[in-house]
Amino acid sequence: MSPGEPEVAARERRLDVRELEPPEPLERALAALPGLGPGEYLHMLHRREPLLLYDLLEAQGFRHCAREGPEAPWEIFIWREGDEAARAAAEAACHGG
Amino acid sequence: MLAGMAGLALDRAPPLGVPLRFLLTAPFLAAGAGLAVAALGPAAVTARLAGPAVAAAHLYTLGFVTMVMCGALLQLLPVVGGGTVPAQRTVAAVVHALLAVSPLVLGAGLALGTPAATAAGAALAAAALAVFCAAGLAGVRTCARGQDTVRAIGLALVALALALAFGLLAALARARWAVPAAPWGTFHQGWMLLGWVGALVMGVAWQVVPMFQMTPPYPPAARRVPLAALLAGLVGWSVARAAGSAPVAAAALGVAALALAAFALATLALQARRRRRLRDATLDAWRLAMLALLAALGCGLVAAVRPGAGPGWAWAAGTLYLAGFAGSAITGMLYKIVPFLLWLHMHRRLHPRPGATARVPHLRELLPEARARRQLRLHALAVALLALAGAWPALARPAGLVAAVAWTLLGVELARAALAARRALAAAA
Ligand code: HEM
Repeated sequence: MSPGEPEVAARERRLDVRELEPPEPLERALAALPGLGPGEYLHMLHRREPLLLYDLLEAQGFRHCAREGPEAPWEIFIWREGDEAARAAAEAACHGG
Repeated sequence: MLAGMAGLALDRAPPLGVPLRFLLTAPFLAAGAGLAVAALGPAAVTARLAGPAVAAAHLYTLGFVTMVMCGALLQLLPVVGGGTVPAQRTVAAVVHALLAVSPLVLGAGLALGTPAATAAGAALAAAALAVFCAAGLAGVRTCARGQDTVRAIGLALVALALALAFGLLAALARARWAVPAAPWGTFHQGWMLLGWVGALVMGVAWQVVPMFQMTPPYPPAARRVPLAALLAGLVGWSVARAAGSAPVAAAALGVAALALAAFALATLALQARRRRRLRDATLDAWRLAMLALLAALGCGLVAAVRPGAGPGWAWAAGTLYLAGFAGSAITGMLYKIVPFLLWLHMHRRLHPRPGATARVPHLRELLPEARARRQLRLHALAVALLALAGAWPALARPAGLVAAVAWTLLGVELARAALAARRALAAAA
């Protein structure tokens, strides 16, 4: 995280599941999401693209943006549907590199 | 964005009942095969191609190995390959019922020497496999191109279709029909074991070993070269056998065997480099599978180069391959896939909308590791005893009994997990 983005960093919750066996990454993510406060998004670091997670996210009212690298093989940014501040921050982080 | 695409692929993931029915039934048919070996005793080894022994073999190969592989494919083709198996619910119901019943009918026919029952059993099994091949290959064609695992699945399904045709010809030849003379039974075994079972376990391993055992991925060459060599070896062997060229046939079969050995060694090497050093029943099951595969190839080599070696080596090769290699890999898969499918199902049911708070049990609660390990130890003992019965046929009876207990226990553990999931759902309702 570069020092030029304090606002984004303040809104980000990181979850590194790279060293966990399936389905722990899924379980951890689903456990962490209810705790997201207004304006917060989850930044997941993953070894693979968690296709199943996407499916479950939709059902539970969350949206996501995913990219390959650079911090992990896959990075997923997740926010609560309707939380515009979180969405803007997450998408900026996701597309910003 | 990716979400739409991924959602689409997962919407096609089959409902729980499609794969689960195969995975929960299969262990009990394997247990039946264990009992059949126990009942046959030493004759299972010494008269391997007599009717009753062939019946016992098919209780296992059709009722357990093929049963699980069909159920797993119905799950994998949509989820891993993004494909659609046409009419998946109907295919699952029909194939499952036929695969559960046909080995029993086939077995009764062969064991009691009743040709009508044998023919009926073979016809039912053939119908199951024909339906499954057609649906599976149609599913493969809808998958995204270029994935090695999908290619291996396609090859396995083609091998299954060919092996089925050879098996039917062998069955007709046994019933003294006037089919052209050829070693149909040998072709049948080769394509079933090396093609259907070998290619499929390979292709599935490329996905599940890195994913579940936290190893580095298989390098592309470690996937493509063994798969191509396996196919080339099988084709070369069949053509040379049919043309009556024994040395070429032996060399080609050697190529196929080397391909499988390379796969086993690559898998063991990856497992040695895994990131997490937790003990895990699936990891141990897959290690056992790879070691058994190497041992099976070794015994097969002895059986091939020393024709006077007696039936024990071929028996040992066969049991190490089917129970040791395929059986252990399948057991390891079942311990991951069944609790996971149940967990996913509970999640979808209990958290269908935002804000739902019902607790979904943790995976390890559904199937505790200690119980899986206990069953796996028994399974390993069964494999060892079965293989040793090649040298000491008197061991066949205890080996069959231990196998029956081990595989019943496998079925019981999986059923307990399914019941625990059902209780959790009922409690939340
Ligand atoms: C419709 C389904 C099937 C039919 C009609 C069938 C038919 C036969 C026949 C007639 C034999 C005796 C071969 C001989 O005379 O040399 C045989 C043997 C054998 N088949 Fe099948 N088969 C079927 C499915 C399978 C499957 C799915 C597998 C494996 C996955 C398999 C594996 C074997 C093996 C390993 C043997 C040797 C048996 C032994 O050593 O006792 N078969 N089969």
